[in-house]
Amino acid sequence: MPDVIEVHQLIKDFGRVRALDGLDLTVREGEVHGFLGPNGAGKSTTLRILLGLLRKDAGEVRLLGGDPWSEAVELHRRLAYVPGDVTLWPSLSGGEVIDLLGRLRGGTDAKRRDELIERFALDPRKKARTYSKGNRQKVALIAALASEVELLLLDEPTSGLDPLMEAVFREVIAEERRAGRTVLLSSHILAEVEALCDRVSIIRDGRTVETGTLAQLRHLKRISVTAELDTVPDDGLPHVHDLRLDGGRVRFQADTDHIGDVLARLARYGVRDITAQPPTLEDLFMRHYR
Amino acid sequence: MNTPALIRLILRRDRVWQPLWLLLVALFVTTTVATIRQLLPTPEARLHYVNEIAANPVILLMQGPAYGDSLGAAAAQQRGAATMIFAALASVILLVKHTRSDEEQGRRELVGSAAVGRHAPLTAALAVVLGANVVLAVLITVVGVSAGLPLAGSLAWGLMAASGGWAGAALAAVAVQVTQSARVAGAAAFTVFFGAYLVRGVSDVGGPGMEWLGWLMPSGWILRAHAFGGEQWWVFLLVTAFVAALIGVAYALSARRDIAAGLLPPRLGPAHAPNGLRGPLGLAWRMHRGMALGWIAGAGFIGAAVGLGGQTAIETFARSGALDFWAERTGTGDPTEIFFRLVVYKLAMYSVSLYAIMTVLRLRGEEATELFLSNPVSRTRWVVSHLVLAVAVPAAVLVIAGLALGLGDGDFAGGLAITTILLPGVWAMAGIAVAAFGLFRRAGAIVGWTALVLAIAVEVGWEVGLVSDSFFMVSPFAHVHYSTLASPGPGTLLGLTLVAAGFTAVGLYGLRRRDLAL
Repeated sequence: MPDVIEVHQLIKDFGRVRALDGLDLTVREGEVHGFLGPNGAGKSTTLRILLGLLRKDAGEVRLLGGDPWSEAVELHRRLAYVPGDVTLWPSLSGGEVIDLLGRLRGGTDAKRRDELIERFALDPRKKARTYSKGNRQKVALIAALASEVELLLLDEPTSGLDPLMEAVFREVIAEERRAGRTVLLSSHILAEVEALCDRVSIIRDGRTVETGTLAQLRHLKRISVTAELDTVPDDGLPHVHDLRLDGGRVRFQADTDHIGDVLARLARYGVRDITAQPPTLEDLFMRHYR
Repeated sequence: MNTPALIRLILRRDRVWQPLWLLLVALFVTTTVATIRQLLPTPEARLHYVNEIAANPVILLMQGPAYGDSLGAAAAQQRGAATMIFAALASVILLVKHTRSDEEQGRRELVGSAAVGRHAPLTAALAVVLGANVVLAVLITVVGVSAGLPLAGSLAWGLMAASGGWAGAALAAVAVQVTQSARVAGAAAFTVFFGAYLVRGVSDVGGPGMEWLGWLMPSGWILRAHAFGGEQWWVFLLVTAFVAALIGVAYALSARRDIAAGLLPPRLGPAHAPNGLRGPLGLAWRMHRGMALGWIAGAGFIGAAVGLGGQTAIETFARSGALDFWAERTGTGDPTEIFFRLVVYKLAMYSVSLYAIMTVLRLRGEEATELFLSNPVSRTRWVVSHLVLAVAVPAAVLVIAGLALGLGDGDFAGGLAITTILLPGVWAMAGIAVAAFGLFRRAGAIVGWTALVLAIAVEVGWEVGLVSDSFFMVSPFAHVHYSTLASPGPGTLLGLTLVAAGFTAVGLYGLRRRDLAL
């Protein structure tokens, strides 16, 4: 089974600015893939190249087994997209936009459409010009989720949604995953990615810096430890990072490979209390951007 | 509060457009004076013009009466109203851009959250637009005087143009309070202005008995400043009072409404799309239909006015020898026919070309909606859906106009022949706009509009004798022209249509290869 999205050494320049600088991305069938990076890292540019809206300058891009630039129309039948900044037609109502987009993709499941409108609490009769950012996003989300496609490309889909709607969004994506749909979810909301995604790719300055399942990433990385000691370790600790001393309290990150050594060493100072946590996605993320 | 900062922001955003439109109007005045000087060199010729041609109902309707037989009076009669209308159009567009458009796009909110008074954006926009029209008045005065016209008349012409701009800006200031859509606000303000102008025309055609009707209309006051014909300066006081009253209304309305809201409550739309809204073509029709129907109705109205009011009058005085110089310049034997064709051509060719280019360039706005092109719709199909309307609506406009022309003498076929012959020329302009849009990522709109300005400039240059026949033939307009330079037969029409298709193909090729401007 070929991967749904295969991007290798992708390069894209805008004039003299290099937006993507050898980006790699692989999305497997049926997974929810988190696409993480700060603003301006190149997430939207990558998605637009995958949609054939922009043209790559170099590298390889395959989407659903095809070339996103030359086979855009055929591929678009099999995917749905929610842009990060949703612009609608001001004079059309939300319901009209949803139906129009559905018909363009070859028909929507009317029951599913109505169910989603209800779950996302959207008034489909309002003109698009009167919708807030969050409501415009809901329109695009409902249109995408109601269409029977294999792949969903979502560019920061919850950035304008309230927490209630964010919860609905998570539920719906979880259902989609169970139904076997592939989702590429670009985001910088780490909790959302942690809750939803099977695998993640972290990008920075147009390049992929990490990719894998959360478990893999955590395994390779560090554990954060907080401990209260009887004596202060004046001479430092081996294999630890970001060591901070606060009276008898120490906080640090330890390499997972050396965690045994570190604990043995720590025992010498008399441990009164200790907590060790696997790194959160936030820790992983911050490490690349600090 | 902080209005000066907002004024600087507007000047920065408009640093190209503001000087450009002011210079275009000034240039227009210069070429008009030069044209009239060339075409009507002697007092006898001008007297003849004023008594015969300028008394023609169509001319009265569209341009207004002449208030003297001097060079200045003839020039002001020819193009004074046009400068006023153009100033009104530019002022409406700019005022809407800096008020309702900013609200529609959410920029107003950002500004409003800063230390800025509630009315500051409206005040800043009015200050800039009203100020630009003062500059326009000065420019026209300077241009007129340096062309050798009397100071008083030149100043009156300048004030006429500026008054049009002021009235347009004031109408727009009210319209943007009422409706939520920038497009609707702009169209409404300009339609009211232009409608009032046509009512003024009816009053001028109707003679002294109808004069009171013109006095009900601000555009009537403006024309009755009698530039170069014993100026009546007090009409500008009337205009100022009218503008002040409208601006007062605008502020009163603005104080009552929420930001981004209108006075008219937003109507709810249908929860489901109608059957017609199925694909790119359905969507394009939905986007264009309001304007398309407006243009078709306008074509019927103006065509009927010209057909009913003008045709026989034109024929009567064309036979009097008044049009001999036109007949000679344009190389035809029959002045009657040529003049009627000229009137129709001037009314239809520029405006319908403008419509076609506007329709094509609507693609620029839609391009930013990435949501649409992420669907299984090819770029070609998307462009073609708008192009269908840029081809079909001008055809409908010209057919309706042609039929309406025939209302006068029952010669519908003749009316149709005069208008529909223009169609391939309009298509060629639309084709050029498609090429500009497809080839250039950002500059498409500017290139498309420049093509129209160039075509008009070359034509005016040819009429004055500055442009040679062979150079004029480069322009699509030359081939469907009212003069005998053009002999539009099936071959020319087919040729122009092929040119339009060729440009379209180039545009589509370019678009398929370029990044979208998102």
